[in-house]
Amino acid sequence: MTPNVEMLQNALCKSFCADVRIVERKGGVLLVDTPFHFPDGDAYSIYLEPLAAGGFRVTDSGHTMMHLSYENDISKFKEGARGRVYEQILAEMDLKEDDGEFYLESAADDLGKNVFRFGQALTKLHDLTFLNRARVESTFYEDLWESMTHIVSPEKVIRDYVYRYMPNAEDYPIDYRIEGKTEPLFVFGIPNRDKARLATIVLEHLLRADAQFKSLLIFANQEEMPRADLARLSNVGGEMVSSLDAQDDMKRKLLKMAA
Amino acid sequence: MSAGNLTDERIAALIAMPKRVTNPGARRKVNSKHEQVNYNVIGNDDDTAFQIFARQSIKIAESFSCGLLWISPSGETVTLIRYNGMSHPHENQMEGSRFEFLCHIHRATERYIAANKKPETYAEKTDRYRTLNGALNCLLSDCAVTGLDIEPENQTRGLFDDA
Repeated sequence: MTPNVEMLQNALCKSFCADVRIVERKGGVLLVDTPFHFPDGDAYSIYLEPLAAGGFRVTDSGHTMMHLSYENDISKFKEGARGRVYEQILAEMDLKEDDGEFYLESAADDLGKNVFRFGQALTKLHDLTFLNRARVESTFYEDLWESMTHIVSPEKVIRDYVYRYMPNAEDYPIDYRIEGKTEPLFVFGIPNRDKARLATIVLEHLLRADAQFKSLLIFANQEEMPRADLARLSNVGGEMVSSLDAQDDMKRKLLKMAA
Repeated sequence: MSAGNLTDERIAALIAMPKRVTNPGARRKVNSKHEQVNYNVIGNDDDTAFQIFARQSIKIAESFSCGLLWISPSGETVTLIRYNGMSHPHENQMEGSRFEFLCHIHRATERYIAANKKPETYAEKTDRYRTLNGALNCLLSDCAVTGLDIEPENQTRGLFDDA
């Protein structure tokens, strides 16, 4: 059966109109109620402010950042990799920002599409929360595994290896063991300061047990590592790769040591 | 216990656990068109860590929020309970219910966690408060928090009003 396009169009228009409406709040503030909502079920706060020159400012009045601040340090959204994504979203969606308030300007006739664009932009900004530490850490290990196994056959890599010839060996796991040319190669992923400290402890324990091995430390971003932690780790660790972007270095060092 | 393993019983126990604020003099600051303050909180077992946050929009008076976060041993945070103002509609996705422009209280639930949704999605409307101060006093009482004094909401000064 061929769908009746006109009927569908009418049904869609009716549904959009029912789901989107303007509500006048205290002090004459105009809020656009839409189906857009945060993952916790709270609707997006989208306001319309008339502009002196005509048209409207479509704005969140700072609510999006306030909402994100409940569980996140919002200053981090503008730093490092998150900051680059943040700037990209603003540019891509043609969104302006004034001290945490997001807005765009629209002619009255274009309000429909601009309210939808604004909702889409707020969704993208909210998704910056997916780049939190725990998630970034887990994607780091996935990316590290992929990078390593492009260079060394996965069959040669043992994950979460335990070197049994030392006391309390289970408490000192090694991220990856790769068969080496002369000695086994122990690889540690270092996504953050805590892991740098743990790797230092594990390596010291291995050295005290007189284990024969070579080590390779692969950082998420060596530049962000506190100097004291990096110095301690350098004293006990072997070769280092500053980030997953340094693919050539990783390849050269892995191939030099792996069997 | 991680966030993914929280049961309704454990959530209720964490909310009811007597706890105290360790930095009652925490300074408020203005950030992104809202005023904010965070308080560190410790359970009476001297081990379980929480945080209380309070936020007040500068532009929209009815936009405010405060809540209690549980900081799991792994460092993951979960909003156990959150007291919102009346600035926006709320929808309970799994129940299919919605209410508009009413103060409401979010609460973490096992069923939303099990469905891989935001733990504190479920909310119920309330008339127990109208301002941030009122919401904070509800939080202090509901969550057995001591060590922080907030003026009642019928007083003229709010948490973020100038002295």
